[in-house]
Amino acid sequence: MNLEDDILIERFLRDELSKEEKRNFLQRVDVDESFREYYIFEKQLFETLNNDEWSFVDAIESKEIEQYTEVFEEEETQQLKEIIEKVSVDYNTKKPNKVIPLIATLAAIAAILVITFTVFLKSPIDNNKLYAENIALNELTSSLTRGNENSDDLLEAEVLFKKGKYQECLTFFNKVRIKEKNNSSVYIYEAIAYIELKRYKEGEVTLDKLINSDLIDAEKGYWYKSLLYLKSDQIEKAKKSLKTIIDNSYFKKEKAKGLLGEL
Amino acid sequence: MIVNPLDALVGGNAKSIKKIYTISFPAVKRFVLQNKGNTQDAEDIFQKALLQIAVRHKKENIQIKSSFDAYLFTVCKNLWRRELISHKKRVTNKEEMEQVSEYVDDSCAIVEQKRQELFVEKLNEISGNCKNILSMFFAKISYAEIVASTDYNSETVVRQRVFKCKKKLTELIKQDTRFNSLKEI
Repeated sequence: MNLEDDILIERFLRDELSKEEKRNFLQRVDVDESFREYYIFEKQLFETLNNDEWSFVDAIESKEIEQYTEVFEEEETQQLKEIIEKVSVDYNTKKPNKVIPLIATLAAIAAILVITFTVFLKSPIDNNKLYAENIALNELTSSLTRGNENSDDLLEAEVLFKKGKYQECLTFFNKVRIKEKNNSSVYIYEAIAYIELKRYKEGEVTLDKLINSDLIDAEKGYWYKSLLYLKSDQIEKAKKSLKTIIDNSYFKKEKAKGLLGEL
Repeated sequence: MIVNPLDALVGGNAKSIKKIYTISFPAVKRFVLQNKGNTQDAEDIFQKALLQIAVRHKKENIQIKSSFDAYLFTVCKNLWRRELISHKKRVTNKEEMEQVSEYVDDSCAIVEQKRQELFVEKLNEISGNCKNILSMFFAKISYAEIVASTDYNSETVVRQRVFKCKKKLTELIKQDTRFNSLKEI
């Protein structure tokens, strides 16, 4: 590659070409293979070695990407993903242990006592803890109903859910989703699985579907949506959702009052 | 017995993973918070980085030249940089971003990370003078500014120097066997 073409590519990457020059440039990229190859590599260099850029993959259907995707999909990797997620929740809900010298500890205790006795001090809110205290997984109604044609899939899904295998249980819930659109429990299990996986957007969409349905349990969607917002640190949205429950005397009204008071 | 963090991670040793969190997460969280992110973003990026490293180790048994913590921090930084730029592109619609599944996207992130590692490693191998001028060039600093901050006399001289240094860097990258699996991507 000569210096002239090098400068041309550089001007293109710096967005310094006129409209016509750009059009000619792109035409050349289309027809001149060696020029195209040089341009792609220059673009990668520019994007990779500039901290304000990032060089994204162009050829998604490559063998290399296919191989990594297969490793991601392996059961062992899925299990590891769950372990990492659990450790993350555990780490982020517990205060780290620190070795503090005795004097510093005593000084801290004294300071806390003084503050406690002098001002009313509200404890910092731990959203994950509040979520865990209110989600009450053991109170969930089973999605299985007598004579249900999808009972095998629903049973499998619930067993996986109870084992905390949220990724796997979603496969079954998603499978029966269309046939079970009148089963409110399926929406709730599915939404909680998404919440546990921190896929909050998908959880929110699922709960909106429940809320907008004609089902008798549609109002339950507000309670679980409040918990979704709580866990994802969207406190203002959580408060709004809890107020809707209280104002309309929806499912878990009393719990909603208590929770709103803590936020 | 000293447990290799990479092996402990791939083996799903929860105790060791928790130790990794204790040592490395605070710095990553600080970095994300300082760069337009929130705590949730930091948690997501950290989890993604751990899984990315584990998948790479499973597939190709990676050898980390720096410490595990330093490497993990770099991966987190790159993933966050990728996330911010991807978000910016989606918002401004400058480029159409293809919608792909989570795992395909995670796989793309690995390949991009590998490219970044190779390019940075080779940039560090060339002479100090070349590295300096190319760093300014890739940061899109104008030729006039490069002339002002170096001993070169004119923009033409800088241009020729950049051309030669880039040629050297290109040779080094293309000679490396790792480039073969990346060039089509």
